[in-house]
Amino acid sequence: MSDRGEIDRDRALEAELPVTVAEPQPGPESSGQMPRRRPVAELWRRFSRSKPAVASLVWLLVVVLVAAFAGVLQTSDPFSGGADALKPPGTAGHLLGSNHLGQDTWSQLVHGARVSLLVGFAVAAAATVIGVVVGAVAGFFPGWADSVLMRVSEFFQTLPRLVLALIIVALFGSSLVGMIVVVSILSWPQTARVVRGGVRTVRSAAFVDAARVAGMPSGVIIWREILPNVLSQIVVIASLDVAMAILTEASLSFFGLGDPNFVSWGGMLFLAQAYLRSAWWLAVFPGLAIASVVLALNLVGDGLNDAFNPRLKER
Amino acid sequence: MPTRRTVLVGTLATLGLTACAGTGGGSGAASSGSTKPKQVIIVTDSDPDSLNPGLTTGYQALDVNVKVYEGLVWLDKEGKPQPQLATKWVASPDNLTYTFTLREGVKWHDGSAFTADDVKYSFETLLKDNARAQGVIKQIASVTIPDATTVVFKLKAPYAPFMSQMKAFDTPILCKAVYDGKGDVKANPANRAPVGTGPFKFKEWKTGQSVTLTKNTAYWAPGQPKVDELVFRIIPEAQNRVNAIVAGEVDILPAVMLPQANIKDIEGKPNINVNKQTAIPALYFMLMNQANPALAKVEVRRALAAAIDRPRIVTQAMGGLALPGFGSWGQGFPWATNKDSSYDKLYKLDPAKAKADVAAAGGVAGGLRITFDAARPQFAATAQIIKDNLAQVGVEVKLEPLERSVFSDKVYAKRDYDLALQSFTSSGDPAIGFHRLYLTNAGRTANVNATGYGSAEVDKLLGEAAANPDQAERGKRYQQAQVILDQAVPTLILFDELQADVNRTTITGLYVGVNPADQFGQVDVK
Amino acid sequence: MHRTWLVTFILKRLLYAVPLVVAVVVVNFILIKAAPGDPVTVLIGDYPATQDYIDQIRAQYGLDQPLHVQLWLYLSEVAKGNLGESLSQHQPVAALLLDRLGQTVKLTLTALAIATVAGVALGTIGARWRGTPVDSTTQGVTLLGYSVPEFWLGQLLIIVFAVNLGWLPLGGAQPVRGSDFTWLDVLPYLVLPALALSFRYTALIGRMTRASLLEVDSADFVTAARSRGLSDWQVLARHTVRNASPPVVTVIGYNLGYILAGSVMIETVFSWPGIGRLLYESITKRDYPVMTGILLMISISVVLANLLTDIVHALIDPRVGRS
Repeated sequence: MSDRGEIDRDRALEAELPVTVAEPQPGPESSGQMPRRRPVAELWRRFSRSKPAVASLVWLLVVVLVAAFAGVLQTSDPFSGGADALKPPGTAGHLLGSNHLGQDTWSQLVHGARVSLLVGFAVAAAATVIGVVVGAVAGFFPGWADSVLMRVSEFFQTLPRLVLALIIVALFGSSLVGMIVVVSILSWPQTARVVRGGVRTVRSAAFVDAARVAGMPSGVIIWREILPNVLSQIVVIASLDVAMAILTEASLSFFGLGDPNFVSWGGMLFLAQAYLRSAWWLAVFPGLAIASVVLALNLVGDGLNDAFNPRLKER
Repeated sequence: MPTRRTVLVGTLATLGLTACAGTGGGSGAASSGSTKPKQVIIVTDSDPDSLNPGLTTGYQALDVNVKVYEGLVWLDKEGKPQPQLATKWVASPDNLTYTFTLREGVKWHDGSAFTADDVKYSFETLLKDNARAQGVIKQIASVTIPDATTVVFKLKAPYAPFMSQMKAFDTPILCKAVYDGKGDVKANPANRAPVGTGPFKFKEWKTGQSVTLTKNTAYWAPGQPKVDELVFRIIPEAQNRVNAIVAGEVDILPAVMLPQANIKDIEGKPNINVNKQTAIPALYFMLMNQANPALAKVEVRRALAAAIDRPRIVTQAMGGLALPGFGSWGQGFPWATNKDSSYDKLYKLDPAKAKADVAAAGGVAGGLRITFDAARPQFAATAQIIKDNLAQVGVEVKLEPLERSVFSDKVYAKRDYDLALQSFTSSGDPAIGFHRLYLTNAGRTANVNATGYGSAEVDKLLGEAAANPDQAERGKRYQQAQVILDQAVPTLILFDELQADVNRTTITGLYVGVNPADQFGQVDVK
Repeated sequence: MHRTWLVTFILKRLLYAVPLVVAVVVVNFILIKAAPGDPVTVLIGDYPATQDYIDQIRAQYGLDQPLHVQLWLYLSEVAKGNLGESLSQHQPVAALLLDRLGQTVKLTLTALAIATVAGVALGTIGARWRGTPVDSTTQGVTLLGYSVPEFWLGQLLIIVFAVNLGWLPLGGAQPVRGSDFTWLDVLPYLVLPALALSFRYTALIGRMTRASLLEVDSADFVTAARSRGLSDWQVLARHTVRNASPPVVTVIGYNLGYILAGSVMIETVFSWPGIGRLLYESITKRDYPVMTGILLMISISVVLANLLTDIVHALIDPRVGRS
């Protein structure tokens, strides 16, 4: 909780995430009270207690494999159409139907996975790196760096992410790389804020004071002592970032702002708009794909959160 | 005890319901008047940018303006001029002077009298910068008014399409008294509440929703107009326009507002009439930039022409509402089309041969970009098909959809493109709209020949065709030019757009003129 | 409650708000000017126009001035309440926005109302029967709300309820034919878009409600109340609700900006004639004054919503304001 008399806006803003990312507690490992068990194994044990989380992980792996082997799994080149336009699912050669140009929906679906996953993970990676750096610095060095970060984050909060992304991409043109850059820039403040919060909490812990007294330079302290404790939050946020990025890419593509040289699920939904009356399959399948992947990511994030913080599982 | 929370929630809910009721568009009070006015509802996709036809060339404005304003003549189904604000016209033997006798007793919507002053003022002041009127105004040397009912135009040189541009679409007559001496034309309130001579008067404009016109009871043609109100309903989403006409919520869906790919959802539905025609031909084409060394070679261009599946584009990108590219002038003007030279003869679809030809000519290093206006779905679909076609002949195509002004800048100003998709309307005559496709042009203005192609012989033929009023003679020139152009294929004509206007069968009196938006005085509701 | 504290608090927040909004405007202005594309060509259209005419239009819209001059002019005009004139509609932007605002407000408030009611219900049910299959179901529903793209949901609703079942209209805000509608005429048009828009916020509110209720439930004073013999419902009414509501209220308030963003997508799918749809149209037409005007309006709304939420939170959260 922050200062008395002030409202902890962090907590409420954090509420836009589907999970309440718990603040780290300096664990028993660092105070030397309990014997260290292999932490990863322990993590997995706790994670696998939740069946939905495990199922989601499996599903995500399936999707990744599909994306990787899209070239093999396709029944025809996703860009090459033909005369068989708007065929319903089940027609010969078109498992899930075809669109107005005769392009195969199934083939487009498997190739679309590549774009969605690529954008999702690239954005999460970029946003996490930037966010961690900025958040750690702001959390560890209170003062002007901290205020600047808070102001910048508030600035990004004031304008809905999607609207800003819409305008930027519409004005500057659409390309896969451009979209990744734009969405990353709009996503890092969230990570930074959470990391900042976590760092601030841990900063005043005993073992950190000990390290400072021992003369360790700040950077090393952040890297060796603080970040591992904040790691859980970073990982959870990162998984949610992927979900957010996939949804944002889908939204931008839905407006026709996606890169037309790649097949994307959002782009498929954009084209489906014109055929809601006559070709329902063009809208249903890509949407299902997006929803299932994002749902899986959210469940995995949920599961990770629970796995890192077993005490909170009591809730 | 109600907690503050319940109060908050309650307030929110009440606000929500009140907002529902408040913006319902009316208090629900009983409407005055027992009989409902006879209404015809036309659908459009956005607000007109202005109702001053001198200031805008957008179709949304045009559709409204030609019911409010009139020209000296209107064009009937054969394209022949018929009297509108002028009752008689005579051309001098050298075709340099046109004398119009104006109709008497015509009143503006505000009650004042229409005179030759209005015509002169319109041509000299109000229309002089209008893009649509440019073609003809540039040709006019002077406008004189010997008396209140006579106007004399002197041209700089004979101009064959002169009469066909004296219509409301190109040169509408505006009211001098409304604009003269009233300050900046662009700020004049008449731009949003027009005063014309046409069968319908402006009634109201609810931005984002509708523009309503009402019957001009003092209209000069007896018995017209037959309906009481014309409402232009604004529906931005293409799909919803389709839904609206099928559901009977609107009466008329103009061709420009129809998403061609969805024609199948409309044709054959009960109480719907689809009127297809190419009265005002429009060509869709692919520019090939000769600044690209591969495209500078005619063998490569010919190979590409033989690789592109034009019938497939017509079916899939236009819903069948087009005629596949015939030759360099399309087939919209039969008198100008050379039947002996055609794409079918020269560039029959043959991907295998095309692939060999491209390779023989040295291939296309680095692939090609295809640039087009992102806002037009027909272009997007066409580009995809072309990409598919060219992949089969070993040419990789990268799609580059651009926002319209960026497209204009890149293609015309900078000539930074390989292949570009564009469409031009002829505006009723090849001399008005199509010459710019092929005339040698080193300039960097928009919407002209940006391929770098130029032929002195073609330029000469086109110049003669523009000046000579005899259609047979003009036809000869165009056909000769077509042979040259078909061989060189600097720009590949993809298709002639087939205009499909849709109307409910309860509406009669449509399609009297060459342009379906015209002559609404005769429209009636069964 | 300390009155002076509240007043200073509001003033401080307002003070923070102003530079924030200005920063948003400046950034948007810069973005728009930096983008490729010339608004003048939009106005000219398909035909070749003379250079004089182009220059004239440029001068008229002040497009020939240096950037910082344009920015300064814009900011000073905005301060006066003049948001400029739409490039495509030649109308004052402010009037245009106000015209369309009503429709968006109607949609978002309805969606918010639905989301609040449904979300609180879901969250309460989940908390009440925590750990049971009922809880898992509600949790699943809320998770679904986060994961499903809103516009896709809109498309599905159209396919099922409008195209196949024909119960509700396919789009628009009111019947096309006729005029002077009562709210009963308009209601069918509101149902699907409001439902689609509310999904995500139902999820948010539901989750927050559940978490908050459980957190309070395990607090000391609740245990104390229970041990005094109060029934579950009494505990709920007297203690839990009051202490659990602040986070829920703040969630609603702070996410207002996201509802506005959601409305852009929903208004597009359903052809709803509101601000969101106008934003999209202005982007495609490169109508810069309208774009900056809408962005300004959205950011001001979000700032106001945040401020309002802060105040409400301060009023109803028993932990705040006590020194």
